[in-house]
Amino acid sequence: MNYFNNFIIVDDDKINNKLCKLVIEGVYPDANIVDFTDPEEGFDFIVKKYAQPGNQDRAILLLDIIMPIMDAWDFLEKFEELAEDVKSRIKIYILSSSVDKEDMICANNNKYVEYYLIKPLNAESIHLMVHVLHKRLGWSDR
Amino acid sequence: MVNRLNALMKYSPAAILMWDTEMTIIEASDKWLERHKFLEEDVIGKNHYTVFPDTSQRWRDIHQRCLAGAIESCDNDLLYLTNGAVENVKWEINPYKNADNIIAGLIMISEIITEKVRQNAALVRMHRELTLLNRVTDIATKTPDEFDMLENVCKAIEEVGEYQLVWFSYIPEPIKDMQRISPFHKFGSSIHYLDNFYIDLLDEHHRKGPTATSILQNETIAVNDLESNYNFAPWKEKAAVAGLHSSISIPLILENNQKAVFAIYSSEPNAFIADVIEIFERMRNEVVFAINNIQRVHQGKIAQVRRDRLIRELNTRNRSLEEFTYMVSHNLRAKVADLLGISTLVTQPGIGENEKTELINSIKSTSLKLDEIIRDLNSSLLVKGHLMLNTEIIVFKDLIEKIQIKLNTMRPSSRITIQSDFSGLVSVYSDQYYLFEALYQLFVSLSNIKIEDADQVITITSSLQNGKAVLSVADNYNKVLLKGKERPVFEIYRKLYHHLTEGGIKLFYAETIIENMGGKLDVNTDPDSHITFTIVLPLDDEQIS
Repeated sequence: MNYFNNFIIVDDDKINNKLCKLVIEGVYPDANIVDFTDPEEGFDFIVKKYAQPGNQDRAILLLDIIMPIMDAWDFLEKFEELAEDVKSRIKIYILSSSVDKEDMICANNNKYVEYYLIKPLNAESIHLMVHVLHKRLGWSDR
Repeated sequence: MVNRLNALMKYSPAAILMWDTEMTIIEASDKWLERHKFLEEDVIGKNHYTVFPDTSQRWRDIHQRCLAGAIESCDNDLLYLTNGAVENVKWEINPYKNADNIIAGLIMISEIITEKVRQNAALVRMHRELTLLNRVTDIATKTPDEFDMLENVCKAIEEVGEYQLVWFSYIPEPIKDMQRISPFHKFGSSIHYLDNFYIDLLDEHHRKGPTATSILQNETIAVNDLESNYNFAPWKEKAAVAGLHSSISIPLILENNQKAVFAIYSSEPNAFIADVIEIFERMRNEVVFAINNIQRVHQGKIAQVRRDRLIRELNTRNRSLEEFTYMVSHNLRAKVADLLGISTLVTQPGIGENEKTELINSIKSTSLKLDEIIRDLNSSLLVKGHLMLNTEIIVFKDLIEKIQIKLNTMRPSSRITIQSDFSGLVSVYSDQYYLFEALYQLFVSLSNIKIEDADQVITITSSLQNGKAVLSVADNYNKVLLKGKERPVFEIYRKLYHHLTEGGIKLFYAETIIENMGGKLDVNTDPDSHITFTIVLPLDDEQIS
């Protein structure tokens, strides 16, 4: 599948996860969306699904910064340990309510972070990030 | 022989007098006659004791011993002349013998050395004054404290300068119709002269006194005969009783225009000659230089202390502001973002009724959380720097029982059990309301860390460490929170605040209360341990004992 049709949401805020799902479904009704309030569970899901031999699926990961046990920076440290092939297929977007510049700079400095999105997620943001990713890979939008 | 003797008597620079064994004057040199205002015929052939009927027994004894063969002399004796003058004299008396080697009489050679003695005394005095100047310069250079420096200078003037009395005082501002100077630093054997002593610069008579004049005219005033000085009249009798005969008053003007004065008294008249005055003025300059330096350093230190305090306050405020901004950015905005997202979605076409109901319910729960955050923030800001402490004895066991009741009532779902051990310190003297509030907020913060519903045990222990009450609060749940992280404490705080989500503000609130109570809230950063919060509270001496 040459589309970013898979969405992974990792945020301890259940309401935000519900909102994200609704917004993504509004844009891509056939999108596969999974959400996790526990970042460790989210990471395990990526390992189990996307690191499987033969798996070439791509996904957009919406990652909150502030979460219990493991924050976004911890998550990104663990993410770095994955195989290059896996990392290249998971495009990470920080989705945070924070308008703190430090957070934005920190996200910008991480090579695995595509962009810093400020909550709430809306349809325009979904369109934009998918469009940018497709354009970069030379694909056409759906 | 006779001619030679006559020539000696006529031209000898020394005064010579010769007696026979009966003390009849047989020869007198011109010098001797001139000194005593005698003509030859007044004394030659006359008995010495007839010419000088008041001759003391001491001299009579000397004559007798010399007639018996002794040779006697004195390098500096006092000679009382008939005109009332007193001279310093050097003399020697030798017996002389006749051809049969028998004592035939006495010969006395004497020399007036009054001027030499005076010059020598002046040299000794100058040496003393120069030594004093050297000592004062040394003190002024090496003493860093103004009080000690002035005290030591006064002491040196009295001891090294051998003066009877010395005092120093700053000149105060006038109060109503008085401007009284009272000796502040004072030394000397005549110190009782200064009992009840003051100089009022606004008093008509006092203003004319030497010390007041020196201050008012900024000029050194020496009085070499206190008894006859008209302007010294108000203090004359007391000074005479104290044995003070001359004085010098030396004014000082400092860099900050503060005026001061040294007053020095001598038991001798004419003690303050021009050379001595010059030395004292040089000494004054050294002292002024030293005081100015000390005051400059002192002002510099005060300014440094003020700067340091300001920087500390600014840093604290800055940190609070940073924490507050960060929390507003995350905690508050997270709920606002939820509400924004919900309000956008709820009006969109295509949203089913069930989802719409769910979203509307989310508005309520998010608003409640938002309200709690705002109230916690408001409480934090209210207590910051404005705690009115009402201290009393707080028994920890009772306090924790109340907190457990509130937790069970207000947050039944949190399922927190508090285990306590207060054997290390049973009670503390503090504000019950605020300590309760701080601990409650801390427990709620810890309960908010949980991801899933589970039983949570929070342990609290007390101890006395370095004169302070220490409460340790640890939970059994969140061991992994700090795992693998080596960040600065503040970062960890921030991390903790936000791991605690809404509880982050509660932790901020707890920290604010504790800091305003004069205490400190710290967190264990050991990644292999459970989260442990440590509250350090100050104790007074009575509590420690």
